[in-house]
Amino acid sequence: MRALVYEGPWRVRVRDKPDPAIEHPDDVILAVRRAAICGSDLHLYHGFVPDTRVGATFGHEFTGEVVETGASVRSLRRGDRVAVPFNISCGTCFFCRRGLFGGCESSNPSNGLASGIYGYSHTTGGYDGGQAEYVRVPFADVGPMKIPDDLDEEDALMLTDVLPTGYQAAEMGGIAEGDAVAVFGCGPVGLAAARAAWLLGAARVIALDRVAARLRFAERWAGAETIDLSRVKDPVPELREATGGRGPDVCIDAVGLEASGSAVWTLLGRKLKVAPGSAIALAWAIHAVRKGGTVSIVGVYGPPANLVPIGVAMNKGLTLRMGQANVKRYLPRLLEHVRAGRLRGRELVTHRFALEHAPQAYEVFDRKEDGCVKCVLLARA
Amino acid sequence: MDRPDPGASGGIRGPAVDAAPEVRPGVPRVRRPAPDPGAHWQRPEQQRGAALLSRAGLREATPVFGTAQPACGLSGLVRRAAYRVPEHRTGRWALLLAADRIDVLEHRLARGWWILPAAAALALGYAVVARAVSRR
Repeated sequence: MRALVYEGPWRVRVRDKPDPAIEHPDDVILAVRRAAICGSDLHLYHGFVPDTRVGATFGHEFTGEVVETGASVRSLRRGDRVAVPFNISCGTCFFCRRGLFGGCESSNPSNGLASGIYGYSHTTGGYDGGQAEYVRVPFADVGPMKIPDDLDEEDALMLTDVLPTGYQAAEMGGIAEGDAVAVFGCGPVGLAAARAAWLLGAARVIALDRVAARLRFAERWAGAETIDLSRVKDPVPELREATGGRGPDVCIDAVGLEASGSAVWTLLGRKLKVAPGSAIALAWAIHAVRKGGTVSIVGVYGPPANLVPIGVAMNKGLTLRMGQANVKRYLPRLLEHVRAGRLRGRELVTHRFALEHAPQAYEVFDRKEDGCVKCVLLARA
Repeated sequence: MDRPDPGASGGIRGPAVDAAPEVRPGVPRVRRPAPDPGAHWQRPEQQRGAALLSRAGLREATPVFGTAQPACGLSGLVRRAAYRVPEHRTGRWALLLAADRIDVLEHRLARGWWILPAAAALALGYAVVARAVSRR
């Protein structure tokens, strides 16, 4: 099959690779239809995630058609169209029983941090991802969601990660009616978080980014006020001033470990890589949020320790909530929102590329060229 | 700050529709632990074969695991060493990141393995031609 292959930082190619095979009785093999490039794929692309091996195929957001089923699979048949949550979860372990699918202990032998995740390095189990013609999907009776006939396929695709992660980010903020919410990062997840904040009762949503096109997108798609970080070098006083001097009630970090905005952190963490990325967006969130407020983190950070102002958080009495989205838990409610037009995920997709042009898609997405918000690869274009 | 004057609730459909805690899927609703309806096992069947590298202290492989890109070469040795270090030690992750760089180098060298014999053949050819020319 043809598949995206990682060959080192800033270098991916599309090459021939052996087709995936059934390795467990509850596996299915999907012929991939659409696979999105996630902002967190860029952390792999830039070489920030430990145990990212040459030859790996990325892609944890995908839809596909079942072409082969394992002997135990009951709920899926050849020809079914499915959307696959990025967490690989068994449905019966301690964590899955509690709806914490992102912590499933049955799919990641590499460490105790998180469940297995498709195409996200051996740190999350060593599974190849969906930026390919075919992909192996374990626990097929638990994870995949059959795509209803009335649902647009790209809406379904956005339910595999972007919308659940954004919604969970807002929900973890414990937003109460009337709250002011600041969202750092206007990538797809940040935009989804901003829009979800309204659904949860926010009275104001303020989105921050340094890319003008994304700020305009946040205004248009998420109804957010915006702060342009290319002009405002320190957003903390700006956010305080905008919220009566106290700071937002909730700050959401939808940026993660490659934040721009601090020359020192950029040099040490992103260029020299002597620190695990730059956590400046998280630092801003902690400093900006009001005392007793909540910081919700869905931006991805790697396992190595980061410099985070935990003393500020302690003294301000903050609540910090974070985690990989428990996608399956959110699907029923988010499906209602999508159908009602309250979360129109497919509108986030700005660019589509044939799988063969995936390296170009990575470049466009990485550089945020041409107003790019979300790239989708078409496996059979 | 740019204020686009979006109107009430940013012009977004469904403002505060999920304001009540009982409709929020994740928190703070208390959830009784229960298996997922799709799961038809108490514990999933074990995937055959051995997990390629497992964390220290894991008694048996997880029921499913990835089999892509087995660790090999010098980077594989470093990765095996890293997996013996507990996850809460920074050294584990530093070793893994170092292994990633070695992995890239190994593959680039492997892709360029033909350069040495090709260069040797060229040098030999040049020497033979140069010698023939000088004898004239």
